[in-house]
Amino acid sequence: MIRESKFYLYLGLGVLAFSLVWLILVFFQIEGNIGSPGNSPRTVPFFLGCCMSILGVIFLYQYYLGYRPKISIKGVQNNEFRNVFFCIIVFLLYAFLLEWFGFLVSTPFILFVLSRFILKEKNWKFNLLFPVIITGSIYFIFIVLLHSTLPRGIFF
Amino acid sequence: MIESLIAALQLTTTFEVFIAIVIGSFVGIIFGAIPGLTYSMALALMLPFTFSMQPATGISLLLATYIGGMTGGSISAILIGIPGTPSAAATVADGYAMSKKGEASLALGSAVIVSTIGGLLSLIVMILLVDFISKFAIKFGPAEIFMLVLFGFSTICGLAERSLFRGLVAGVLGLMLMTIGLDELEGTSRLTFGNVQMLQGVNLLVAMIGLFAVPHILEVFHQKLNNEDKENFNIGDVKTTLPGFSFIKKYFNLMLRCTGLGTSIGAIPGSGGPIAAFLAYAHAKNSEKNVEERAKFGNGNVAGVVAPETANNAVTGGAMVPLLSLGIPGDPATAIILGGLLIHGIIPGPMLFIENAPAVYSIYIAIVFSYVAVFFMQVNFIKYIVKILKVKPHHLACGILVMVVVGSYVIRNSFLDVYTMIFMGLIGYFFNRIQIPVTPIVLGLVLGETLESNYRTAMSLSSGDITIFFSSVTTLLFFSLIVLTIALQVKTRVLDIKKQKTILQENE
Repeated sequence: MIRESKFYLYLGLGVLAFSLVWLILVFFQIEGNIGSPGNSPRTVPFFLGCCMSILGVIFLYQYYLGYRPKISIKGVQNNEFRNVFFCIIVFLLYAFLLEWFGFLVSTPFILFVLSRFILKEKNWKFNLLFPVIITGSIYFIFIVLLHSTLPRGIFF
Repeated sequence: MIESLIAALQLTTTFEVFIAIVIGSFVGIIFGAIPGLTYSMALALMLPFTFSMQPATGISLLLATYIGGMTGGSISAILIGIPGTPSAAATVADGYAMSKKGEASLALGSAVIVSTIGGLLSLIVMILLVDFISKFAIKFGPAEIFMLVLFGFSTICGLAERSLFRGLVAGVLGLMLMTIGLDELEGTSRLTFGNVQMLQGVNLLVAMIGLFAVPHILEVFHQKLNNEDKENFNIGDVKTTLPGFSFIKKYFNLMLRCTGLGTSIGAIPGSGGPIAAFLAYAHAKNSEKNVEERAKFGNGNVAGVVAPETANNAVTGGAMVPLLSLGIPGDPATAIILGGLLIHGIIPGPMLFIENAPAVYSIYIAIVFSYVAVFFMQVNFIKYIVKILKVKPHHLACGILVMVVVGSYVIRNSFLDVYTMIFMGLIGYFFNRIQIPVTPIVLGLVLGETLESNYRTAMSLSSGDITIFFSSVTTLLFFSLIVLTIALQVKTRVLDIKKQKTILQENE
């Protein structure tokens, strides 16, 4: 649980660490010998990294002064990490399936898995119809109405 | 002007535009009415559909969604006492009280009619202001534009949420993300790690879909997996009863004042609907001279619905002023609309009136049509609309999950965009949890390119002399405003802390 009094400490350290990583990347990933120092491709990213560092220091100073957020931050809820991680896996799995099997195969599959096994929907008619209706509607809108493209996949 | 107007009418009076407005209004009302879903999310989800549309059709779809969403928030505020959008929060007190007294139909009717009047009146103000500001802004050079955008940016970071510094963290992160990819001025790659696909940079629309839609999906699934299901709303049959002409006559003065208030607040980047609605509510209450009527506020006074609903819809016109005249979006919704305009080659700003006047008039006409469509739908189809409030949130989330993944892919037919969207969604979820606003990230991505290109052009023009940013009255004015905005935020925070300390000392 995030204790209110430590909020600005964690935020400050996080922001500072991020800005330092950013500044290192700016030096290694962007050419700096083009144009004048005040007007090169590196200038703005470097300046932004410095701004972020300053903000990190401000948060640490706020912690030092004993500031608290105006509205208390909710602590980590039961199983929150597990559930969010699980949802992200579902997103990544769907993206992966789309890449390999295309829209028409992976969408009904992922919706069925979501509905039956994750959301624990017991009505079998719903479990079968819901994926088909959603897939069919999106296919109809993008392909038939808008003449757009949907992921085709490598196998299909 | 007449020629441009005729051209705009030809563009907007087509069957495709009509269908787009009907669909946009419907989707907007639904997303506005369902607590938890936002019209910003609706706009982000609708964007991928607009790619293969004609510009007028796509923009009409987005505008109708925006207007439908702003108006739809009042439905759940009145019927179940939960605002569908933050802008409708001020409507709850009297709207829900009217519902409990059996006057839900009248409350809904009053809300829809004043929303339409407020929105259309603000459109008139918007047309006048946009034209005036554009004529003024056309004289701006790169240094002035840089300072102006920086001012807009500081206002948004400062006013959008509770903390200036947390707003700035999000804003700077948005600007950082914008710098990834190909540097268009020098043609060099920046932070791409040698990946060719990364040269395209972080797509604004992908980021918006991730930031606005994914956190909602994660939240709903998390609740469902924890068996914290919310109960379905129990709403009986409802209909919308439009109040008579005497009602409009009685409240017209209040509507005019609230329209002025809403439009002015909407025109300030970073403010928006909720502030306007609460100020209008307070104004209506304080300006009521009749003691008995004043006592009714909070207990079902129709003026308590009229004032906030007029003001929050007037915000739509106000928010379009900086967007169209200066290219600065005032809130997430207008940032997404800006994204939609840019996709179709419509670049908002002072030059828009010279280069593409029919596009500007098309926007005005689409707004009028959208209000008519929203009005018609809310009056005639309210009983069907409220049925959608009964759909389980996790079923909606499943549909939205498919939409966000497919929507992110179709933008550039790239799976890298899908993974970027998921990553942005995680950032959005994490930022929501620690109460860092995500709107400045979007605005950083939107305004970043203008900010950097104008900075570097100005620096090139002045041969690297930074005093160019302080060399004219306009740049100095904007600089003073930036300092003032930050100083006011810091002052408010210091006063808050002093107050907190005093309370703590008193308690001890």
